[in-house]
Amino acid sequence: MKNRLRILRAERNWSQADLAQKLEVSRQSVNAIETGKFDPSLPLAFKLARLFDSPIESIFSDQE
Amino acid sequence: MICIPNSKAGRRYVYRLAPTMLTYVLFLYIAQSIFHHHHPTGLFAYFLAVLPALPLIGSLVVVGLYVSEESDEFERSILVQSMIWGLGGALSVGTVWGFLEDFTNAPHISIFYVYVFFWIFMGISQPFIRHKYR
Amino acid sequence: MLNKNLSRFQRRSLALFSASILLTALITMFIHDYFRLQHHSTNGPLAWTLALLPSLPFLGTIVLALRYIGRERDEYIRAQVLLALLQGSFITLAFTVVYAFFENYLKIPSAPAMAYVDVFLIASMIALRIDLRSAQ
Repeated sequence: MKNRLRILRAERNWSQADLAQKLEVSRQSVNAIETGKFDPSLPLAFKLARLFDSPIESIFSDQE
Repeated sequence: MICIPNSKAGRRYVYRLAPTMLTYVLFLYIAQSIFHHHHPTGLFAYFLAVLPALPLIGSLVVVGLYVSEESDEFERSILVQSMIWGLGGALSVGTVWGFLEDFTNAPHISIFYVYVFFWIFMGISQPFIRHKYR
Repeated sequence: MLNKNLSRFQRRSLALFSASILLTALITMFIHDYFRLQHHSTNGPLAWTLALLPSLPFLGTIVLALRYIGRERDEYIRAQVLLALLQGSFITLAFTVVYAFFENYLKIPSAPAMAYVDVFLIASMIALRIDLRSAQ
């Protein structure tokens, strides 16, 4: 699923490893989600939303 | 080389697996020596034969616990996929070799190798599965 | 109860899978004993090719199961099927290990090749039934 994670990360100057640590997942998971190859579950999506203080729909987009 | 995973569940998995495998070696030694020297029969023989199998089944339980305890869903997805490939590979090898044994002169290898091939295919498939997500 | 609301993909997958299993059952019942009785201990590439032919439906069944998992869009059903396959795997491997030690120490006869896939399929299907029923 397309998402703006890379942009949001860059705004805060976080590396993938930083984001992974905050989410308590592995760096590969963050990379897989960012590249759109893996969709996070609802709990993880909510974690991301809270972390970036944005609604889920503004982070992820299912439009092609 | 499978390195110790970073997650809590991963480390717990390794710390559970090591003693399980040591128990296997111990039970194997016990069963082997008693069978070799005393030739038991009856119920005791069955119990002794199953003894080394128990830690091996335990190792499967340990893997199952790892899958259910891993909180990182991406890692869990990789693990489950590698287990499926592990089993698929093991069953395929076992089936094909079994047919060759029955119909041609292929030498008999123990059914135990199905278990071995499960671990081999599970390990080998992991880098390929991870590569899909790059 | 469980079969009412299958999608077209699920219905087709189920039919294909059932046909594959039926083929493996037929092979187990007829071809295996026929060749054993003939005492064919032939060799050479032709013999090996002929020996491998009956194993193809067994391999095909596994491939079908994997393809289904890859293509099923309903994530709940996919998770349940995956769980059942893993439980079936566990039972199959446990059976394999115990049988191997019995064979080694107690000298019981070796199991035919088809037993492995059969045990796996039966165990998985029972597990799926139990999983789906307990989830309702």
